[in-house]
Amino acid sequence: MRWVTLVGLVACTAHVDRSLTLPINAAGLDKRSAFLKAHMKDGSVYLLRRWTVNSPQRLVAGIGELQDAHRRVVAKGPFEVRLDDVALFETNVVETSAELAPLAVVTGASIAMTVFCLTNTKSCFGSCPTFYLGGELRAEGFSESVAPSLEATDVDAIGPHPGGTVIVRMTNEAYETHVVKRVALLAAPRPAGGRVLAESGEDHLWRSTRLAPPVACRAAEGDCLASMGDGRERFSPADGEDLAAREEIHLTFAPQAGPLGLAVSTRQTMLSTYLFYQGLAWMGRDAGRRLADLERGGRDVAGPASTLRDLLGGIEVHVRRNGEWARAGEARETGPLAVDTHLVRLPALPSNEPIEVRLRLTKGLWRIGDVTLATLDGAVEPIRAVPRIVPVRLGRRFGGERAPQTAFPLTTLPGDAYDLEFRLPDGDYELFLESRGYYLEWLREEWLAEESPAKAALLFLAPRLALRMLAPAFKAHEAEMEAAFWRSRYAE
Amino acid sequence: MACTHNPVPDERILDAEQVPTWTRGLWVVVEPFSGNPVEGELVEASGQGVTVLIGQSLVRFRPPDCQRVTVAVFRTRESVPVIWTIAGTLSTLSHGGFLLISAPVWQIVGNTTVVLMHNRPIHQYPDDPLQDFARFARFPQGMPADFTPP
Repeated sequence: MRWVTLVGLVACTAHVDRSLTLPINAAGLDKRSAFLKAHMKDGSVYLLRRWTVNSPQRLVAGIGELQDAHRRVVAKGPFEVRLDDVALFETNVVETSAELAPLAVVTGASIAMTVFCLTNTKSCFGSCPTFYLGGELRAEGFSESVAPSLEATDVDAIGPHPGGTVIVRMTNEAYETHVVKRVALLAAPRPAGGRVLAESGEDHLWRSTRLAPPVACRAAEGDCLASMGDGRERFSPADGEDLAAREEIHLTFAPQAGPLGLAVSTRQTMLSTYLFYQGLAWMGRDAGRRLADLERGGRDVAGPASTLRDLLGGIEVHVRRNGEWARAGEARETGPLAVDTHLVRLPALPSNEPIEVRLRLTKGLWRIGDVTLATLDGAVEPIRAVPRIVPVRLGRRFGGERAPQTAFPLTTLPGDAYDLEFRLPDGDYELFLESRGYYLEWLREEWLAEESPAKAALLFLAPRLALRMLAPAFKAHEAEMEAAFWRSRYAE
Repeated sequence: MACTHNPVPDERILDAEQVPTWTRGLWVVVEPFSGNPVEGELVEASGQGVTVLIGQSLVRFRPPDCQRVTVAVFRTRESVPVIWTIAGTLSTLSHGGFLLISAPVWQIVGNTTVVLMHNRPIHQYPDDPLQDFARFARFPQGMPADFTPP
């Protein structure tokens, strides 16, 4: 309604273009002018409507009135005026103001943005605890810990570092409450020319001096070797009928001596975030009760959530051994923000034969960067460093009476930022960030419009069917969801 | 870019729809280098000066006398883009983090629009030459030699 009113106001915002024309140019008078004024040599003026120019007879004709130099009306009616008696013609064209056009354009774009965010709230505003090193997003903490009872420890690889002082900035960029119980830095000495890799689902770190990329890659789209690694992420769109539909990627590596592991650098797409927020939206006002029930040990949320998690799954790693595929393990990390590298150890394989690996994963759920075959030289014990907490800022909007904190547990609200300052001996390290805690998602008012006990029940009782039902809605916005998500981080 | 000073009283400015049938001169404000501003109907204008009907008197101003001469051709409704811009900026609250981009865009485009709309109908000497003011005079062709106010 507001926009309709504004469009109406545009029509009221007119401007006038006034022009003077010599009689000799009467044929070129602006016909858009509803009235024509003929200024006569004696100072009188004809004000004519329905006017026409008769060039051959050198006349203008119209209906109106003649006013003298004092602008008193001296005659009314149809007139024919000789061009030779006219000093100047005056036309006035009233038009809608063009100055408002840019506002109309901005309005269109703004409405589109509003509609997008109101209809796709699952791609706006989402995040989880985020960690930056040198201004670059390196990790997101405990993304699956969406309730106190789901508090967990998360270890994320954040890359090589020469030691000394390491400052990691921790931010809350979402409408969430983050409760961070602890953060530690694990610094593993890096072998010359090699890497240290974290084993998926385990606490072990492994040294590797030989890492080789695949020599061949095959997936549904054909050759996929060029689509992953060196900063590229291989991604396939979700299935249009079933969000749990799987796909396979076949990789071939040159023969390599063991023991071996497969290092997979990956992050999720928006699919898992979308499903989480959709679940909350369907639960609506009942979400608080259900999550409280989860805290009391109830299973009515935990059970279906676990089933959904299993239906989507991680990246299963299989190797061909003796002509048959054998499951080696799984790489899994929740969250669409930061890339993490997971090591899946492989069973013993012949060292003189090409190594064939099959990745099995849910379509549209994973973005896969580097995949390398690593020879594992042995386990490594990291140095564990605890931080000095330096408050950077409290979010202005939600700052209230809160005071900055300097000790764990840290409870943060949108806009808060803390620097975690670690000190390491000088050296060449592979760094891993260990974070423990949980976070509480804020229920957005616009989500309540989608509250549906029936759909929530369907999600809990028949999650497999729910994933089929949600497929068209997700597909409709899949293409723009990730870009929208990144642009919509909470920031001040 | 800023709004041009407009000394013409609002009640003397025509609505755009009135302009085509208005056969008198538009209201003009002359600010001389010395003395107070004077205002009245613009009767005649040329490069040699302007003639203004003030009450029953015709007063002639030559260019050297004029510090500033202003005509406002029609009344603008800057309140439209002002309200529009405020509403648009407020609507960006529904954009979440996008408002960091969309709110400044609204402000920049909105404020620019307000200034352009405000300035468009204002013609001002010395920015515009005095002969351009003839379009807005009662006698754009020049005042008849025998014309005297009634």
